[in-house]
Amino acid sequence: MNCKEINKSIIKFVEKELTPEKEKKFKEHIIECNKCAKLYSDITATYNTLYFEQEIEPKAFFTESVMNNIDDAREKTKDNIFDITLDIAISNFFKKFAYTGIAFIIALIILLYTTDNLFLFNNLAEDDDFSTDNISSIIFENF
Amino acid sequence: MNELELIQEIKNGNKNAFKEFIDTHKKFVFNLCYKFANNIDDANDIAQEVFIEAYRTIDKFRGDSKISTWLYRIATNRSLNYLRDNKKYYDSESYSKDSGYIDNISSDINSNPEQNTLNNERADILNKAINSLPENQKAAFILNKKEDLSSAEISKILGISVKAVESLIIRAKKNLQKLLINYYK
Repeated sequence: MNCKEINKSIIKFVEKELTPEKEKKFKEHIIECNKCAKLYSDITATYNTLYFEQEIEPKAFFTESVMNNIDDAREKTKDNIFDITLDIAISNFFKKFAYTGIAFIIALIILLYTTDNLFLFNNLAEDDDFSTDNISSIIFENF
Repeated sequence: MNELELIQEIKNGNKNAFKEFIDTHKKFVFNLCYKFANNIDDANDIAQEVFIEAYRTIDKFRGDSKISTWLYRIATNRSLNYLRDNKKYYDSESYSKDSGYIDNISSDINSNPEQNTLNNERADILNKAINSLPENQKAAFILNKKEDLSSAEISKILGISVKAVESLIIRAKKNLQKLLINYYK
């Protein structure tokens, strides 16, 4: 094994994943090469800190804090539902208002149009040059 | 009351049952989150989010898998999300010596203060290296090495095949080795 191969095999050696033959060559190289021995020592010591970790207790009042957050989340959900309901109500109101407004405007236009025509026809009827027998037909007498 | 009965009580809206559920699992969830975050405050926040999500989604738990598997899944996803959301912070500051946790670990193992300091530094270097792994490799490696779970158990948690888990662990080790060699060379 050369230095390059050693560099690629350190964690495999630590994890006992090398074949017995490679493991033997690895050990032989480490004994002979100070540079690789230093690298092996540092990496092994660092990698093995994985197994030093011990369990720790969560912070005090952890459970209470979660329970409070759950209540807050529920309150927020309630607020959201209220906001959404309010939004929907406002939206529906404006929709209804808009529909009513449009209907009113259409009705007003029709009314004005009809009134104007009637008014026009009445004026025409008052004029001697014209006479009407009904609203839909105008007889031009002296045309 | 067994765990499934407890879950049913929680589903029925029994808050005391959920409190009992938290008390039973908080240590394991908190420690798992810590193994991802390496910071007590962050682990505390993530673990709280885990339980809140568990409460919100408890109706979806049908008992097909173990409760621990279900919690592992939520905790792993939450931890990875947290690390992703705070990537900038984790890249620059997370491994400063402010956590105090690693000091406690080493002091139990070795009473020599100099050795403790050295172990703290080494743990710090390793955690930095683990944190720089791609997410899926990081999750598989932490669950395998720090939680001592089998590839089959990890496959259920991550929702991938056993072979895919094994491949992730192998790649994680290779990448860690490269990172550590670059650091020490």
